[in-house]
Amino acid sequence: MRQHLLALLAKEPAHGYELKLALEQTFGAAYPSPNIGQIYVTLKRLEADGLVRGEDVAQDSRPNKKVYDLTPAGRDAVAAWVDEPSDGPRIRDDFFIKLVLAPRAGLADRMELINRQRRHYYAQLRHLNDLADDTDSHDVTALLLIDGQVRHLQADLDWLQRCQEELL
Amino acid sequence: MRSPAPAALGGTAGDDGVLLRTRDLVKEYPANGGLVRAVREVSLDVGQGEFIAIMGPSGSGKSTLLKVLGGLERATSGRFWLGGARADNLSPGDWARLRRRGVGVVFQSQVANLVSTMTIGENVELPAVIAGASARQARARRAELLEELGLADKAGLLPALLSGGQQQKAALARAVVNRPRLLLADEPTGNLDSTSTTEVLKLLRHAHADGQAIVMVTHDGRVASHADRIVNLFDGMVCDDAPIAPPGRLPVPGPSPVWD
Repeated sequence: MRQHLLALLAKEPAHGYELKLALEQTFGAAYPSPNIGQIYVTLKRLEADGLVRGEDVAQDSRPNKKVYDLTPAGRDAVAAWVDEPSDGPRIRDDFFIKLVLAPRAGLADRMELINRQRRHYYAQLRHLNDLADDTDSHDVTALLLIDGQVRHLQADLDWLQRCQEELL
Repeated sequence: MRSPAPAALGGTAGDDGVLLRTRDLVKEYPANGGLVRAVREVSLDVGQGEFIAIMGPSGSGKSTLLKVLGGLERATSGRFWLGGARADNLSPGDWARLRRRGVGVVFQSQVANLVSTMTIGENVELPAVIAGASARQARARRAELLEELGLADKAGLLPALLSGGQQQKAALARAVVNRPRLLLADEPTGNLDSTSTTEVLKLLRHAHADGQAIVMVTHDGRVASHADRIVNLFDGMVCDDAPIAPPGRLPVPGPSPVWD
């Protein structure tokens, strides 16, 4: 989340709650929405690392709010993040390690593991279908995030079938 | 409209709400001097209005099972019932009547699903007219289906003038025009682009919402995820059969955890 907050702050200074809203409104329901506490903790760490600077702004009849802005070091950090390619989500696959090691140790049956995992993927797909149904058809960003997750799951299901064909 | 043949011809469910029941279905083919057991002891219950996706690797028996259930192939052994009436021993004539009314089928070869000398519109209307719909009813239903599938401007064309994907969608429209109580569909979205896949999914979901039961063979997890239940075949046998868990209590599958 550090990079996500830095990238939002690269556009304009904001306080914690504005950042939370911006993430939710931009990415929609399929984005794993942070709670406000996680945002504040992350902002504090970024400040300690010298990447952002918080400034208290007085508000009428409310406690002061802290508005954050990028420091030059923060600007460099976000530029470096933008410039590097991102890893796909499946560099290490926890399920595959389980599938190989657990039956060897007599802890589980391969078919059972595969079936359970497959059911889990289908339930996730169903959840994403529902999210897509509930998302405004003009909200392209949110729909693309859902679509990306759906495609990952499709690929996971195909690969699971291949594991089944090769290992059973 | 009651037929003199089994109650299944009306496509109603049995007393227990089971529309299709199979017990120990086996289908063997002679091959290389031996026998290939394409379907092995498959026992399934499909409830009225239930939407089931049959999945599994190629060669796992999905299409063969569907052909047996649609009366296009005869089971080697085992039994099945439609609406509480035996269906594995029906005559080809009974099956032809059944497929016109209670059971809609759409198989992978679009050529076999459409009459080449009739326009797309006539193809879709034909089963409705045969089943006794008025010309006006048949036309209205055809317009509704072709519109939903993005084929409204193709109604006057012969099948040969349509792309493979368009023919496939027209065949599906034809299969559902009479709102069969049971729709058997083999890869209804196979070879379709994403727009057509979305149209077909929408049509299937509408049919499902209307209370039609659907048994669909697919290799596409996204398409399957719209079903109520998924049956997985492996080497001709059912290796898993489970409803899709209700949503709402699942974490979103994130592209790797984003929190530090």
